[in-house]
Amino acid sequence: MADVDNEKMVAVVRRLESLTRRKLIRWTTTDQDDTYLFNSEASSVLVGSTNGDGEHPLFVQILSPDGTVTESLETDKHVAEDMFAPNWFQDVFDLHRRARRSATDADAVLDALLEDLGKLEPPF
Amino acid sequence: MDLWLGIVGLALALYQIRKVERAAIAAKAAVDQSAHQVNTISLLLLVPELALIERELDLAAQSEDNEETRRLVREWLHRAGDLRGLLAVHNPMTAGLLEQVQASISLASVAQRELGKGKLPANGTRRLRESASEIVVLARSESSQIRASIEAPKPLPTLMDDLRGVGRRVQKWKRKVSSHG
Repeated sequence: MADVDNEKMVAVVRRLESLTRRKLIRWTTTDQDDTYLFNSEASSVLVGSTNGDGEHPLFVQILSPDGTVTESLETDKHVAEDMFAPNWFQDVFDLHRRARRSATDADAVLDALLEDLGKLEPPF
Repeated sequence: MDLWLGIVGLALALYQIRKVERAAIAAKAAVDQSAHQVNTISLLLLVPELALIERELDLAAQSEDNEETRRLVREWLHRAGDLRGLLAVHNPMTAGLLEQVQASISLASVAQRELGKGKLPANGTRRLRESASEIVVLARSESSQIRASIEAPKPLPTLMDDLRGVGRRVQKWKRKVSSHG
């Protein structure tokens, strides 16, 4: 369970994951490997994997309008492997996965691939 | 005779009140217009400055000049921050640009971190440079529109306009007095 300080951050993570899943917000790639940016009017959010490999440790950072990190949340690789890892580790993992799909336009790529594969099917 | 003197006196008093009111409105409009013009001029001056930074950043990154790239990323961060400040108060028609500028500030912040960690300039600023290039194109287009939309100031009323106004009021009063009489 997240401690009191993390509660708001975890709420933000869950809300972002939900909005991304419903395609109501879009993420973009950044110059940091495997790190994605969502931009709102008041601030920005970064979600990424520290080692750029899509695995824990994963981080979420809230940036102020001038680009400084104001709040952050980071998972721990060893704790993540533990069966008693906090639930929010999974939330951050889900958000990261969704953000990557959004930023790389994975759905459009998959749709195009499915269409191409459909053309290869024999017409019977 | 007394009635006519009273009417003329009242007309003059009304004229004075109207004149003072109009001067106050004109003064407020002038202050508003000056603030808007300062903002607009700052915005128009910032666009070529951003274009120059964007071009230099591209050159520095492509020649893998780490120190110069870092300096230009910092410079972009500051100037983009200035642009965001101006856009936030300037014009609702620039809302789309404002969002892009905000994203470029975040991207600059990430690029700064990556360069600090030793990433090569061309690779460490690729997304920032794409974003900067888009912003320069958009900002140029917006600044052209702003230039075209700047109106010439309206001329202040002349003495003849004032006299015509007084004449109209006197006529109105005369009609009112005769209808009651």
